[in-house]
Amino acid sequence: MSGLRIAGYAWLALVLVFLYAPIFVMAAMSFNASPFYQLPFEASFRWYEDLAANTAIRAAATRSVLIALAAMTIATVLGTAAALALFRYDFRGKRVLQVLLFPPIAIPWLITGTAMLIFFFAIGLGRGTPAVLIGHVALALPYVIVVVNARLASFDRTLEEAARALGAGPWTVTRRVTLPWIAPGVVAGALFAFAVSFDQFVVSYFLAKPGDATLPVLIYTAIRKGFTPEINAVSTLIIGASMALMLVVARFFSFGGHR
Amino acid sequence: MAEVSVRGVTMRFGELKALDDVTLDFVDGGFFALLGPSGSGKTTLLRVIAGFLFPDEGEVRIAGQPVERVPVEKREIGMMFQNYALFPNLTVAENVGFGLRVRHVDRAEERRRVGEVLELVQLEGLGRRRPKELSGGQRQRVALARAIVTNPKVLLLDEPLSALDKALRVDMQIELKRIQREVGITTIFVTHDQEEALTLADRIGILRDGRLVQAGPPREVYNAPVDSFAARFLGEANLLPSPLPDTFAEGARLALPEGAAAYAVRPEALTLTPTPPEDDVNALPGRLVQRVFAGSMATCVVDIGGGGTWKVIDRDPDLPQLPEGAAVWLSWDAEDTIPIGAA
Ligand SMILES: Nc1ncnc2c1ncn2[C@@H]1O[C@H](COP(=O)(O)OP(=O)(O)O)[C@@H](O)[C@H]1O
Ligand SMILES: [Mg+2]
Repeated sequence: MSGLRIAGYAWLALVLVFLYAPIFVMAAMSFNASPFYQLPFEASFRWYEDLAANTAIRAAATRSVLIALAAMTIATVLGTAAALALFRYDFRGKRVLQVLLFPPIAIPWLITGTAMLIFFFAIGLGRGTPAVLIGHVALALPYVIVVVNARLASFDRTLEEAARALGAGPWTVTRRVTLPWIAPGVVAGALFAFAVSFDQFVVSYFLAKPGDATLPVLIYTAIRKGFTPEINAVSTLIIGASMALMLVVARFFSFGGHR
Repeated sequence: MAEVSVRGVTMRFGELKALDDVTLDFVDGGFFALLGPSGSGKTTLLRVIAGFLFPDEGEVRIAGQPVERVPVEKREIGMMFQNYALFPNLTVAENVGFGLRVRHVDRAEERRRVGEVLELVQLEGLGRRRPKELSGGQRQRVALARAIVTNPKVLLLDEPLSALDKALRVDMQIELKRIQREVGITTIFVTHDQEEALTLADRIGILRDGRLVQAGPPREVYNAPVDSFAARFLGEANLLPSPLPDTFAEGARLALPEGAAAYAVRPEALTLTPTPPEDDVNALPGRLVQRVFAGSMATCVVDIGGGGTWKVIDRDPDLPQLPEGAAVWLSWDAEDTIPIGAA
């Protein structure tokens, strides 16, 4: 092996350590019997048992998953429809609209959250799960539109025209020709939407009622009150699930480029 | 199958008139070639007939019915696109069967018709392939099969052969003509290749800047072009202005009919000789500039003093061996003078 190659591997290892060391330590500690991170390591499932018995965490986790699924579904349907409309139709102000889709991605969530809180009180909706859901959909929507749009950019419009010439009406064209083409983009957009909602802390913290916190909000409050290793356990579970999902998706849609 | 008629169609894109008062009839079962340089409005006319564009003025009739309010998917057209536009996620059989599937034809019937039409385009046995597993010529056949499987009233083809290399293109021209005869479908074929138009069509129309210059059977357009554009676009033509300028080819012996705006002489009607020809033919003196062989034919370029350069196509053995720069005579029979337009 050349020196350059070794340096390359060392660099890669450093990046992986940087990314994964904290996660690895946390995951290891979730299986350690000591609540104070004491070594020697003594394997134990007690924190997972505690977690199973902790109804507050389980309720928050269920709420988070349900909200994320709902936000994902709504944002994916609306976002895909919006991307298709932007692709197909020319109308006045289309460019302005397209440009306006980007700032919400760049605006800090803290500010978006504050603005939403003020807005929801102004219209009389106040805090609560509906407000959280609307907020999450609004945050996820631009991601879906941008991702689906990117996929549509490589779509050959004459395919739609060919389908119409063959007798397919607008809905059939969309279902049989356009959607199959953009499917990978729609799935990727949906995953983004799920992640944006499921990971969301700031906006959820502002918009949720104290009684029905989402999982990230609950974890935050739990840590403030006094740390329990159950949090390690739930975090480890979440990491395991999301990594498994990402690997499946990466394999399926070849995000790495080649197949 | 049906006749298609285009009446006074004008299509504007902003300031530009892509079609300017075009009136054309496409006879039932005929093979019509739309010819014209790039940007002359050929594609636009095809898209107006298909229903992808709506004309600002005029109307389109298919089988006698105005189709102004009929959307593309209800016009019962078959269309072939320049890039073939095959659905990449479907197999060959699914591509061809698409039009039947959206019409809710039952599966057994669909299989039968797809099999039939694949046989017609000589692609039996390739039904399970994906478009990306086919050669250019095979894709082209799939696109054609897909366009005709629904028995459309009219088949619209936009430069369908231009993506193929020369040898394959000639094969496909013969094939296309055979299939069109067999199916007997009214066909409108866009091309900028005059040879292709002459090979395939029983009628042609020449477009220029959105206007129809001339339409008719190829022979008629070839023998009696309405203007010098048509004369030059369909076949090659050497042009004589009318009246002839004083400086024109000193020593020329010309007997031209009266009352034309110009005259054209086809390169293949000319005879090239080193000495002045006999009487009772038209004759022009000139200088041989270039001689190019192409198989048994030779193309010569001759400089006519004051009249530009003329092109001569002759069978090579008939041509005298002359060095470039030699003095030569061009001659042609009086009936080969094509008068163009009225003066
Ligand atoms: N959608 C369009 N918008 C604006 N101009 C167009 C459009 N389609 C065609 N044109 C213009 O109309 C003219 C005719 O185009 P086209 O019908 O494509 O020509 P051809 O097929 O003979 O090459 C061209 O000048 C072209 O630039
Ligand atoms: Mg064109």
